Amino acid sequence: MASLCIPELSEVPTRITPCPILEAILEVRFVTSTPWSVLPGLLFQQIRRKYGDPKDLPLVSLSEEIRRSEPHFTYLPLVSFEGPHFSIRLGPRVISLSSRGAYPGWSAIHAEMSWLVERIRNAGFFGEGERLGMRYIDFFEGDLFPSLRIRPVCADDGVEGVEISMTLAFEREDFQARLILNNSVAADIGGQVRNGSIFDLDLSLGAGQFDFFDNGLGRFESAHRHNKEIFFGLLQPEFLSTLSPEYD
Amino acid sequence: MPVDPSEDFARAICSDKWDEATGEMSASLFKGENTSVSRLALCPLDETWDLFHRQVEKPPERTLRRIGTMNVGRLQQIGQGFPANPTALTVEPDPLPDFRSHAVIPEKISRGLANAIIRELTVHEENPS
Amino acid sequence: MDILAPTAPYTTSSHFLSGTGDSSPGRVRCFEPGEAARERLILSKLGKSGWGRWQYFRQCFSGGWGERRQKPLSPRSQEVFFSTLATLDIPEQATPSLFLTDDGHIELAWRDADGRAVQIEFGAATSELYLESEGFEATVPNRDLPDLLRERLPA
Repeated sequence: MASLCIPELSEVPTRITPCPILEAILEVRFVTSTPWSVLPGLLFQQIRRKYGDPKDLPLVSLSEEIRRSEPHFTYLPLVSFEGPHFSIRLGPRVISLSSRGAYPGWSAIHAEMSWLVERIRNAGFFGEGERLGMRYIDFFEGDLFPSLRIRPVCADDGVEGVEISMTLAFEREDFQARLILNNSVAADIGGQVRNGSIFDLDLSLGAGQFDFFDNGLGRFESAHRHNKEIFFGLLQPEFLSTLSPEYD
Repeated sequence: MPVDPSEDFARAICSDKWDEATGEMSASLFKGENTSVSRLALCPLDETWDLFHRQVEKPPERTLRRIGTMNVGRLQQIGQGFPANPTALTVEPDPLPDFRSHAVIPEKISRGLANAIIRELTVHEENPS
Repeated sequence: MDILAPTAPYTTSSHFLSGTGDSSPGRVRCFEPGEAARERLILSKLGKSGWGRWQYFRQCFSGGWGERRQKPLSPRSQEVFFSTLATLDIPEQATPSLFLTDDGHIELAWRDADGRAVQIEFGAATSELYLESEGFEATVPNRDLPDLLRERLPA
């Protein structure tokens, strides 16, 4: 897989307004010999001080046989634990931390992940990491494509005014990146459904490129840096200037 | 007390260790320690199929494909005669509640020795009837 | 009921799911980034049979399995397996076999021109090479495996 030539900015903003981040998810996939039936209990023992009881997600109602026979379900969570600012989702081979409501900022997410890594270590079920991923989903009202430095072309002319959904998979140093751009989505924002565009970027590492308990947090840091460089690098400078960028 | 060298034992060969397309077995069938086997003196081969289906099979991930049998004395000869590292092999009874004929080869078996054992294994296919 | 609703933070106009997977399973498969390259590699080196064995292991042996709750297929074993496969020269006439060990390691085996076994077990940290023709057996850290294979299995 090739890398994508993304313009480098001399300075990357630390904040833009309004904050377009709809959801931030830090995820690790793993293998374990521990049966699924006891995983939620093992984790809950460790996180109950900050998170509520496990809540079943709808997929849990499917039989284990069906879940296991369908590859699409392999990495989906089956229960969630809700806290005041974050959700933890757990499945037989995945655990993720995601922001709830307004984006709390990277330092808050990093601190929570740091806490969670220790709780996962103490729970003792984590066998071997398979994939470490970070996904940021940004939402913008209207059509985002004219504001991007990447756009579809038809017979040498830019495609405009049509619904576009585009997925790019590329390498970024050690990371695999998957960028989804779509100019016709409906998103639930503060209880209201709004139409617009999403910039959905997922950065991940394979099993040989991280050790969750050793350098997992550092790898999330790197993913966050790449995420910002890709996101801001692909915005048209004129558009970025309308978002009141703040720099350190 | 170890199983008498005159006895024969059976080893389940499941789909993780048997490649149907090539008809080859994995050395890991015997490599390592505490290899589980069944004593044919306590459970004859035709009944061992049912026993292994119950005890080691877990469809869809793991199905019983073949059974390998060997004489305990022959196993010991192979171990002692293995040039790279002669190994004294034994078969120790280890009866389990639903698996009275269960026994183990407790010694650590190297890959090379495992290959030597596999070469002399008699491989049985299940009778479709 | 949209069973994925709680994990889908947005819906597209076509109501495709927002996950990475293929929205309509069938004859066409979508891959995670990097997966397509792996699928091509294993098909080209080990054929449909080897590809099928790998799919079988990754799909069915992801948790504890077997009568002793043997270890699930190791993701790191897979990584080493694929990086090795990319540079490995398996003789054209050989028919490679693929196995899963009780430690959750992938084991690749074939027979040389004289019918002697060549076996590589890919572990999470170390891997093992066995050459029946030379009575050679060695376990090395994964970083040293490429050198060992170059030395012992010249093209």
